[in-house]
Amino acid sequence: MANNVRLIDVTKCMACKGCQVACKQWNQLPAVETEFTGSYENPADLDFVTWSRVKFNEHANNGEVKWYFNFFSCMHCTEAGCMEICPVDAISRTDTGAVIINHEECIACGACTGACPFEIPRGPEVDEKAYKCNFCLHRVAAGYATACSKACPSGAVTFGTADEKIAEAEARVAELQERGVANAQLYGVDELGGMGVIYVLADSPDMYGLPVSPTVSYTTHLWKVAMRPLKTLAMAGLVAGMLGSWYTFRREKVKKENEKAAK
Amino acid sequence: MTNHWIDYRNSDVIMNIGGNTVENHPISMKWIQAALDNGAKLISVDPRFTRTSAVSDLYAPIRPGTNVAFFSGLINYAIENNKYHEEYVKLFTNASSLINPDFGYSDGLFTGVQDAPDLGDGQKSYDRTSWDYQRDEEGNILKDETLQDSNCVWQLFKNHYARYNVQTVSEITGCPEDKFVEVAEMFCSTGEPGKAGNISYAMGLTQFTHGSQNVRSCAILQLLLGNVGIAGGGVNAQRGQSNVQGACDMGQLFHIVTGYMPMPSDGQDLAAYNAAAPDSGYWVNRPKFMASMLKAFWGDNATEENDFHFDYLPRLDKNRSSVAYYTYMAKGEIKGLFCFADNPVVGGANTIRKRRAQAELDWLVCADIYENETAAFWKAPDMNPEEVDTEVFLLPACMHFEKEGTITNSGRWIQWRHKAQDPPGEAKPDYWIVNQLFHAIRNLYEEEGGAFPGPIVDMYWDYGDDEVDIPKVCMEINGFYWDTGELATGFGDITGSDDGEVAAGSWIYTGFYADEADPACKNRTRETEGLGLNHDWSFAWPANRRIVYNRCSCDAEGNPWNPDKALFRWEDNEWVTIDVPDFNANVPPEETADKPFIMTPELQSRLFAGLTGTMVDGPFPEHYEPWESITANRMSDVQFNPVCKVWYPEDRGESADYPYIATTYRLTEHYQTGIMTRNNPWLVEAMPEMFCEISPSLAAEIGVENGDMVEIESKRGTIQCKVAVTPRVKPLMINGEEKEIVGMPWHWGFKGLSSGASANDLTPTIGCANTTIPEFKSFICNIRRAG
Repeated sequence: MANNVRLIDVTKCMACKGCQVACKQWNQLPAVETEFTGSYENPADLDFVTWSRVKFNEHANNGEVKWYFNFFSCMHCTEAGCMEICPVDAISRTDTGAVIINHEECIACGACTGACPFEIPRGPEVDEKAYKCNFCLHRVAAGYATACSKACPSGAVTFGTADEKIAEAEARVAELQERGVANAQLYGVDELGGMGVIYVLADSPDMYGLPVSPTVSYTTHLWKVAMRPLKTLAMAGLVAGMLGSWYTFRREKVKKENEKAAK
Repeated sequence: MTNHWIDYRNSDVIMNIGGNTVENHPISMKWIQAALDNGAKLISVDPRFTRTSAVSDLYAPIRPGTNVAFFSGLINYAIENNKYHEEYVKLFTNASSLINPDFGYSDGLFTGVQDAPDLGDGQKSYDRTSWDYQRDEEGNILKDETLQDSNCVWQLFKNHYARYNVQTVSEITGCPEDKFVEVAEMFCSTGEPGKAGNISYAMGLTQFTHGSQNVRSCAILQLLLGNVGIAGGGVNAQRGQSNVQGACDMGQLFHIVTGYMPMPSDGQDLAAYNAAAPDSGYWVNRPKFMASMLKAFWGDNATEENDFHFDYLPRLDKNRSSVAYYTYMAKGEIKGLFCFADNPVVGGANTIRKRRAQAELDWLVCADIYENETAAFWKAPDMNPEEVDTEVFLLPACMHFEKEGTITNSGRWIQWRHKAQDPPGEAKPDYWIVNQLFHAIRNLYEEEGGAFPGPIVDMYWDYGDDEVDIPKVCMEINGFYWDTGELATGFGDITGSDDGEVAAGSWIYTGFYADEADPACKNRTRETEGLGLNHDWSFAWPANRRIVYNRCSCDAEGNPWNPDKALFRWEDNEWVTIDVPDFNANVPPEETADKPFIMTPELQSRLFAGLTGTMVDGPFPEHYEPWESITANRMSDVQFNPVCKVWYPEDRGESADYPYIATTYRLTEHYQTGIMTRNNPWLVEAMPEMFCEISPSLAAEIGVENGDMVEIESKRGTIQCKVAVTPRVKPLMINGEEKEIVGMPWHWGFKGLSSGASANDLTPTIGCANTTIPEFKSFICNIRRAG
């Protein structure tokens, strides 16, 4: 079956958060307690019950204000760092391209969060399992689009096959450039072997809080090689302990890289 | 709306002013986006850079309360730069009509001004006699088709607007001159025949002491550019709640009954009421519509002999607006209040006074889905329960998805909505509650008598004893022949029969439920090609017409201004109709060419709204400052609307004490007073707390940072909330001085899962001179770090 893609055309996004709330509703995820810190963006981060959110990126330059919005959730990458690093092979790809976590197998080591260039999977510290967007597995199996795209009123979030969506995204970028949006660009087609989420951006990715060149780190590849024997031993506790410290280190590193990119 | 949501896709330029369409009407973006995909432009005019501004092609700032000046500048720009649609103006407006030579304007006041101490110290009213047309002996309006006569509307109009040049408008509104000219160029480009410009707005135009003149200004600009009655054009009021349109249609406003007929005034009998109806235009049928409404109300008891019990209708003895009745309540003149799906203690103006006023009530009945702040007013943080004797009844109402019925959207589409699920517990639909109340009250009147029992005991009320028969209610609104029960199919059934032969609750709805088995409001066939008019999807009043005043879409000979988006075309000696005609389509186009506005007695639209209209504060809109302002009126010595009623003069702050401009608004994440949304965990998560927004420069001045707590004070009260410091809010240059803005959402109150300060604790008790809608959107305040 063909890979599916979520196309996020930020030039049509109005940050209504319909996608964010639809995600919680369909997946029956409880609300988390949030606070107003001066931004419309809430929740402020992903967590084990928050699999998607809308980012508000405010830029002021010589009195001209730009307010860029983007829907942010699992990218379902072809080169999926999370899948690669998972010591117990709890993360797999479905035949429609969704990267999913098997919670029966997950040992809550947190390695996947660290290995993800977007730091998407979350949860070990709360629930002992990692959680993230599952590309509305059951909806899609039944022939429906993802909840986020179903809810979107303006056509900013849509869902379809990779070929169809990539062609649509390419045409849209060309159209935007023609209209004078000089920085209009694709994101996700070439990145990470082709992501399951394709963005049409009006500006460079860092203006949207996205890493300019997301990569799965070399360390992740090394770990994969090193982990093979461990996996067979299924020494979960040991693995979790080892990975825990690595995860913390890696998380800090990703954060710094993202902050750097944002500047 | 003259047009409808889907029609936005037909626009060349969309200007959203006095509204925040993306945040408050997100679905509009679906159709705006379709227009943008076709190369249209979106303009956002707003005091703040909003989510609408973020997706717009052009953003222009404006000081709250200066929309008349902004529109006037655009009108003047269109005239001076010859951007207007000359042929349209000559045909379809009253530009050529001659006005009484006695009419004039001087220093903020029109002729006929007189003192009106009952409205407040120094306030005025108008004897509007001089605001009339010159007429011949038969009463026909005199005209000068060359538009040269110095007393013709066009000349008066041009002179009035010449005062609003770009520099003046920029100094009043704070919109930089270059930005203003960009807006003017972009929007006035739609004055070219065949181009369509849409103005969408909401409460940011209406909620001012001059709110009606804001809307008139918008309409005048659209007429000047030829944007009324065409696909993609229009004066489009985006309703803040989907069924507000339906509520107005059903006569919920204090000054009208159903179908936009005026409330009878004190002492008026039916003959006098009917004599006051216009003697030309479609409103000549008003006596028929009134009789049909009375027949629907009192059935067999309403006869020609007893004037269909016109005497049973309440009379408008004085201002009975929501602003007014709370002032009467505060004086103890009102003893009881029914409050259905309304939360005035959060959503009304000057809510501190409202809470105190409610303590003067003997009883209060609230129906809502949660205990709202209005029901709980006695335990508000600023109230002492021991001092409140009001008995409060809280009835559990159900939500819209838990009952069936119709809903009328901003585009006037009356759509059937099925019940999706049963309400929880004892929650009941409002109509069930009203039905029970009515039966109980009628029983009391029948058993015990009482003052003036007639209107209740004689009322025709036959909707079932327990469960309400909603189709029956619909059929009564739609209208039926009283004797046979045959359903009315259009207004013709009312106008073509004897008075009272047809009973119709709201004449404009006739046809929406003309077929009991298959009513039009349940139609659900999508249009697959065409302009998106969707005549087979629900029913739009009037007569399933999707774009009103649509004769204006064609020139005198019946050629559409834009053949690609034609609503009609005169071809082979007959009209080809795409929309439902708002004119007589049985006659050649020349016969209707200068009569496209059938609802005005002059059959044309009004650049000058004089005696034939109802504006009490001037035939041309004029800029006045809001009641509270940080600056003096640059246009005249009259500071604020001279004709509005001042309820509490002592509530007015001075800019020396309150140096900042304050305004209020809504957020996507919450709805109205928050009863539905502040109790929904997912929405509370998305927008958890009350806050205000200020510029970095104001933040530096008062020493606060993003997320700090601040205290905002007006003459009415003080609130505390968090602050967002954002470059999206900027100070504006007003009459040579830099002025800061404090913006705040008004969704919060002291109850609910997410509680917080109410912005309306700060807003004043004052309303528009014409409608008394409160001036929520512009007042003055001070702000400081809390604690």
